[in-house]
Amino acid sequence: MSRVLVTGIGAVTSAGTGREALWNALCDGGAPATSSTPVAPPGLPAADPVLLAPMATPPAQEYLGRRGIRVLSPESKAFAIAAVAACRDAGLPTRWECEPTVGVAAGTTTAGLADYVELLATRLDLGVERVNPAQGPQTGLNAPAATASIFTGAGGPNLTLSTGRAASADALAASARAVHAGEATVMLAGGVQTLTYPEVYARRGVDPRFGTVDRARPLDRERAGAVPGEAAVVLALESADAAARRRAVVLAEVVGTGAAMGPATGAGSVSAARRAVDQALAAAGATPDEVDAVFVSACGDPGLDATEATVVGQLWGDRVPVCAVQGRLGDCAGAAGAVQAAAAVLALHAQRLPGTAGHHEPDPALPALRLPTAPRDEALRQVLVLCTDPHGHASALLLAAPASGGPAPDPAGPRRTAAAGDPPASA
Amino acid sequence: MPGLIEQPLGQRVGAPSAAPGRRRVVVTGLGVVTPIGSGAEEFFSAAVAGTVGTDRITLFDTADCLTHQGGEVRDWPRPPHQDAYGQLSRSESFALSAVRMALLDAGLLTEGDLARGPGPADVGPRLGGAYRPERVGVALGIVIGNRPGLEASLRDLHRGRVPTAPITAHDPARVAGLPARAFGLWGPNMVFPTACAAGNTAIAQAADAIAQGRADAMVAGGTDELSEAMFLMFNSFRALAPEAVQPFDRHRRGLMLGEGAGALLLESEERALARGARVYAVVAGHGGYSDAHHMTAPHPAGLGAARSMRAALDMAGLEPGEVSFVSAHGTGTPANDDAEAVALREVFGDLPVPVTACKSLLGHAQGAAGAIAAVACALAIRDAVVPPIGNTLEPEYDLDLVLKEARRMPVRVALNNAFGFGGNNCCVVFTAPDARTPTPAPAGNDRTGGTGATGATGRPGRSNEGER
Repeated sequence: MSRVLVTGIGAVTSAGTGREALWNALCDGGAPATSSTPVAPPGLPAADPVLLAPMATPPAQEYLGRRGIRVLSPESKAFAIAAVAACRDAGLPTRWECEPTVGVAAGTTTAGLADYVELLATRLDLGVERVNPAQGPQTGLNAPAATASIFTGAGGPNLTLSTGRAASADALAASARAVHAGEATVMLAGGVQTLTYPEVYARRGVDPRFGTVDRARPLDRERAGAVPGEAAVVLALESADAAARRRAVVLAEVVGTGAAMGPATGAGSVSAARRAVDQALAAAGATPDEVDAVFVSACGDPGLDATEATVVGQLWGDRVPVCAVQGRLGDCAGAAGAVQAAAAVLALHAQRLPGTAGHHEPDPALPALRLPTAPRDEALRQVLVLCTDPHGHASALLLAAPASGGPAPDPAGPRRTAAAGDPPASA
Repeated sequence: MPGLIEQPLGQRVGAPSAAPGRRRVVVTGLGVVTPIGSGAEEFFSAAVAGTVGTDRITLFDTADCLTHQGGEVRDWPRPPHQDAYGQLSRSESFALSAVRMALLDAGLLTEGDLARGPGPADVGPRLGGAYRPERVGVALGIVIGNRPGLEASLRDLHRGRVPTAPITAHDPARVAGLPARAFGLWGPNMVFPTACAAGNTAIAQAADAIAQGRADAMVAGGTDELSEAMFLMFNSFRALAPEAVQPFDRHRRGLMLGEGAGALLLESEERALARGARVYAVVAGHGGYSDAHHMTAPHPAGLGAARSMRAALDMAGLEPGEVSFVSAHGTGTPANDDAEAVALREVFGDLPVPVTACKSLLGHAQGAAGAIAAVACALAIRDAVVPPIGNTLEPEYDLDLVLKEARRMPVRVALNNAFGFGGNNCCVVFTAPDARTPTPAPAGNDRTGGTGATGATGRPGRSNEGER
């Protein structure tokens, strides 16, 4: 069985494109939400504007070429760009010929939703003959992972997971298992999330305040809800042997994963999150004392933040620093775990912890946590990523700096691994 | 708690199939909702009789479309709005029913448990004492899942009416989340929207969760419902059959959309035998490889399909000649059946392996299709009978198709194929409970290469789009 290394990151977030842009934004602090009006499908009433952290729009041709990109949904395009960017960052090819050892996995809860609704709305408003066949294939939740495999030629395992805010952490965990088991030598894994008309409409039907918060305040006493975020983030997970053979720069190692389900609220949701963390630690043979930072998915939501604060409080109290990147990048929902994992990998790589943007005053109703608001150097051996969903899903990843576990030795000779403090390379 | 957690990622213990700690996974409960019957016995007796369940669609208006038929589950009560869950979609309702059936069938849930109602504050546990709730999970595959639940509200909006109830169908995680909440299944909870391979993906991933010790039992399968938007999509592709689904027939004209759910209760063989459970079959192997080719057209040489079949057989430690029958994806579209025939030829060569395709009876139940076919595989092993393909009269390929009537034969090994848009493929091998397969080959040490396009029967000049 192979150890699982992170050798590249591709990121399209509200901070821009590339991992350098992501890292700089996390270290630079907060940014206000942007007002945007979702485009209504034909014949449907306009939606009120939404405050969100919108995804950048990178030049698709630069990453994907010209052929076939016109018909892609925004989710598919962004995820495929992130996949190619991750390959470039890792020094991997960006194009294989249906290579069975390279796979793709995406977490998402919204992919294809806008196209799905537009198919129906087009018929209602314009007639069945106006339904666009080119739009159909993008209606599926699997379209981003499929698109990435088609554009990169990754013919290995291809997975999509839709487990709420845990989706992309679950996709990373499933990918780590695939590499670990030898089912693939490389998995391009992460998540993608966009915010479109039907999602806004549905969410506002349940919570009229959705998309009205101008600044996220994770774990803050004044928190009043999340700022929705958009992102597409992909990590290149690679077997240690394969990485060693090509002398890849190693950013981090995936050493443990855990996932659990629980009731939507209360003690049950805390129990599920705790079980996910315990599993990840146990899978790595680690104790809580060996964790040097926790990247939570807290986004300013009163209940969700409380769940995560309780779990962190139970295991670490205020002994380890906590980082909530959603304060800067918005609540990227199905992509949240990938965003957090990318941030955690970059922190391990730089031995530096970003601050939590938007957090000003601790909530006295929550356990006392150590929550830096500005970036600071930290000795980071292992960091934990925790994602929870208001409907009960929880997923945890334990990531380690290369030096703490060490990839498989290269039989061909010395191999360059990232040194603590090395600046992140450009994507 | 050694043995109860996932194997450490950093530990070198050998490939999963050969790993000493990997547990055998068995099927001990079945639940199914289909157009030809709900419940394992009603469904399978209708399938063995070759009952065709496709008919005119009544759920939405098809008057201005090119075709009008599909595999609709008739007389299914309109799913209720529930205080705890909100408005249920049909696919969520199908899933809840199929999961309930599988739990009851496996003896993990009793009518008495159900009569007691939900636990306090919807936290369960409702299950009897065989397993702790956090050791039992749910994995379901979907294509669109509950999204059709949006359609009524969208129609209202288009007419200028404000929908009265909050919309919940935008959240696909509900599909597996609701059964977890309803029955107190707090183990791994997964939703796999891997297109029409999704039912098999869920079974494969659930089996791995048990084999690797992340769960003791999993309810695995798939669910989907007839959707106007999906019908419009296939209508625009001109990929729908007007009158009948005819897999592998020379005159086949396309697929018919369908709906339903299939659920299999999987558990470790050791635990199942310890509690005296009836075992239908063993989940012996699975394989999933992408085509990396096109969003709607299958790889013309069936590359991902052939790799997936080979990987599933490798994991099971079986040779192609040991397969009793193949449950084909068999949608009845020209392109899918071409590619699948090529892939079958690639894997099985001249071996005379019987092939059936239940979409001829049910239509294409999308994310549920692989799971419903998996239920049929388990029952075929139990009853030693392979259901027939309906409607196919003039086979195009040199395959041993099970036509006209069911074939009574010993079934030791069933290979279940499921392929989908975007090149998603997943194949699962089921074996008889008493079948002892040799030590499996390590995963990764596969025979997935060598799938050249020999014997390709692609149709020059014909578009393959939209024909999965």
